[in-house]
Amino acid sequence: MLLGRFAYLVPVLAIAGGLVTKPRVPASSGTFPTDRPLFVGLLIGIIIILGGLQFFPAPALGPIVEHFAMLAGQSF
Amino acid sequence: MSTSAKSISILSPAILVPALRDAVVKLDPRQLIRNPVIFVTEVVAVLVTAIFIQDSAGGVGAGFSGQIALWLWFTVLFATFAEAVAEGRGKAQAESLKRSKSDLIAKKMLFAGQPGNKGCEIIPATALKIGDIVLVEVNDLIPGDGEVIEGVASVNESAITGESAPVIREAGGDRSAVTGGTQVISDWLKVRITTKPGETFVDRMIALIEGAKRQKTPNEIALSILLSGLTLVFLIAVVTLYGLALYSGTDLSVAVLAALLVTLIPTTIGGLLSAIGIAGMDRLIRFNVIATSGRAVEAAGDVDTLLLDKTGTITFGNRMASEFLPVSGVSEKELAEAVLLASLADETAEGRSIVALAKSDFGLSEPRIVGNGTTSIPFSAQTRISGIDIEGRRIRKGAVDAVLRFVGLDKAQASPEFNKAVDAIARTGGTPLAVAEADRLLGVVHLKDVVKPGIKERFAALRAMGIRTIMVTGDNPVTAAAIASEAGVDDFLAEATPEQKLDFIRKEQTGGRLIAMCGDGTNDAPAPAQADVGVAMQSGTRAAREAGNMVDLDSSPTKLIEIVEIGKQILMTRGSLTTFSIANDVAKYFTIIPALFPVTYPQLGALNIMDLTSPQSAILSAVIFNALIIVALIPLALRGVKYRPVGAAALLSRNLLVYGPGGLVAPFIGIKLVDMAVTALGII
Repeated sequence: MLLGRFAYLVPVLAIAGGLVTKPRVPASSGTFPTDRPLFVGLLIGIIIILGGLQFFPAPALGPIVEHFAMLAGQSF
Repeated sequence: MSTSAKSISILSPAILVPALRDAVVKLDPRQLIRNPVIFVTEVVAVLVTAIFIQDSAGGVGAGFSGQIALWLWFTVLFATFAEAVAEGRGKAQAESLKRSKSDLIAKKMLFAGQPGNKGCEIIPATALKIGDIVLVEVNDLIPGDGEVIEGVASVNESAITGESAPVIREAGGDRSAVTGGTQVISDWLKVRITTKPGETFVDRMIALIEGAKRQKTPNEIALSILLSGLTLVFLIAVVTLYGLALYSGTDLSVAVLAALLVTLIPTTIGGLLSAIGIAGMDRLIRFNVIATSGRAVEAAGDVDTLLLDKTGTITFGNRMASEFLPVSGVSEKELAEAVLLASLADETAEGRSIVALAKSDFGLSEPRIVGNGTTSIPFSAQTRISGIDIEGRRIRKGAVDAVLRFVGLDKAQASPEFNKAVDAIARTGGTPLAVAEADRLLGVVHLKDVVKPGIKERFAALRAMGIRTIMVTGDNPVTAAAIASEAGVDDFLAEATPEQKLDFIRKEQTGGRLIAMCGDGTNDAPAPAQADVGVAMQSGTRAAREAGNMVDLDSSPTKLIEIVEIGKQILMTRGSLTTFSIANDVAKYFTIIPALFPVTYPQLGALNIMDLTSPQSAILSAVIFNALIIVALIPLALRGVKYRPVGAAALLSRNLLVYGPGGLVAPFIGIKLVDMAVTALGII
């Protein structure tokens, strides 16, 4: 549990440290705008797909299978 | 490089057969560890193979684990094959270069200090040392890279550049560098060798093309970290699934879990990652640009400021006559006639352009100069005028103040319209050339730096890509501004000295910009070295060639635009295939999860939306599809995603729409088809 909490902090701090040393780049039409629906959609899409892919097995064996079982008239 | 090597198709047996052999060699885990995703796949393949052997020894049904193992090996093999194919074309080119380089001989001069060509010793080129002086005569191949110290010759550099027109090489100046392996086709040269055999330009080119020094680029490293992270996450997901299944009373077999892991980890992009980079370098080579590192190619994709020399890049470099402006009392035709006479003996580009304009616009024919009364006055830096004395007429043309002095006037005394014409020309960035006969001013010729046709459109395309173009010139700010607006560049740097160029680049870089520039002279060398992407011209000096991180063999400065496009294309191809690879995973869960628990949870069959035949066929189909998609995408990885100059957001949304939903849907269809084939063949 501690590992799950803190092991993720270290790389995130490393990313933050890395970003600090990067120079600021002025925006141009070659820059990806982060205030448009495209960025919002992309971010949400990535979170849903990657999150879904990591956690799908657990709900599939829990709530999802129970839901199908319940529809078939079987309950635990 | 020879044209034959250039035209090799990636589908020719000359590339595919060696690539197959290389693909097997690349299975060596010590090599494969550079690619974590595929390395994991190989480890899993070994594991499943071991299970297959155990199963067969135990006499239990080993068919399933055997087939899974087989397809896991294919997955690894297809990935190494993609890399081998990408390297293949470069190798073929390197071979042809090596052939051109072998058996070079050198005529080493024994009495180098003395003039003349006497006393040579014939030694193999490999025995040359730095500082040796060699003589190269007509039809000899130059034995090594060096500097011309004596002589002028035309040299055929097609072995390096593919350009068949010979170039002039001479001692001193910017045209003194010669390259080993090129051929002298007239006259002779004395060359001081400046590079050790084995480190010459051709040697470096061979090494670069073969990819011997290939290192991962920053973007590749970042993507590798992401892919390794995903691999780790999926490893954890698959291992926990084993525990979850055990809780619900199912003991999942290792072969099945291995299949699930390999289909989930991003093998598609992992397998094609290095092929994309190599293919990008290869595309540059086909554009006749040699990059010294993949890093430079990639930096080119991120470049947002392009520094271009005015002369030779944006303009033709020679000022040309564009109009004749006579003073009152002189007709245009009279002026044209006079200046035509004055320019007949003038062999400079300016002089010839005057002759051409007089002939085309005024239909004048070239008068024949006969008689003894004709003297042509050549241009000199002191007088700054040239002209002709013919049949008693004394016609002069030249810089305005020099011509005024010739006619004995100062600027205030000249007619106002003459001064107005001179000022108007100077304001538009042109050069006024005054014309006078004896003590009478005839008028002014407008000499203009002509902007290359089509260059404005190219700059517009660059602007759409988000790249600023900046013109660098030694001209005064007025001239520079006029040409800058005509060519449509975003900014200009006038009266630029080498130090100013360097300072300008540094200043832009501290502002966070990535700069690309090209240069060809010794003076220019520091600037391309400081720039993030420095393109040196093959025709340039040795110093310039070594300062840049790319060499353009055609010496065409607008090539920077293609280089930037190829750099962007590499980044886009990686992004697109990563999107595709991850979107693929959704379908694989729908394939494999229902197939894992046919007994414990038959209700999960509802997730089997593809209606796959049996649990085994479903798992096998997913693994087969996962392997085949790598092969199917090799052409795309090598060719690159099509680039359009429309700006980052538009490009991204387009590619996301193609490769995101495409990656979601494709495996549903693909796995179903493979399942139908597997069922029809009765493999399971």
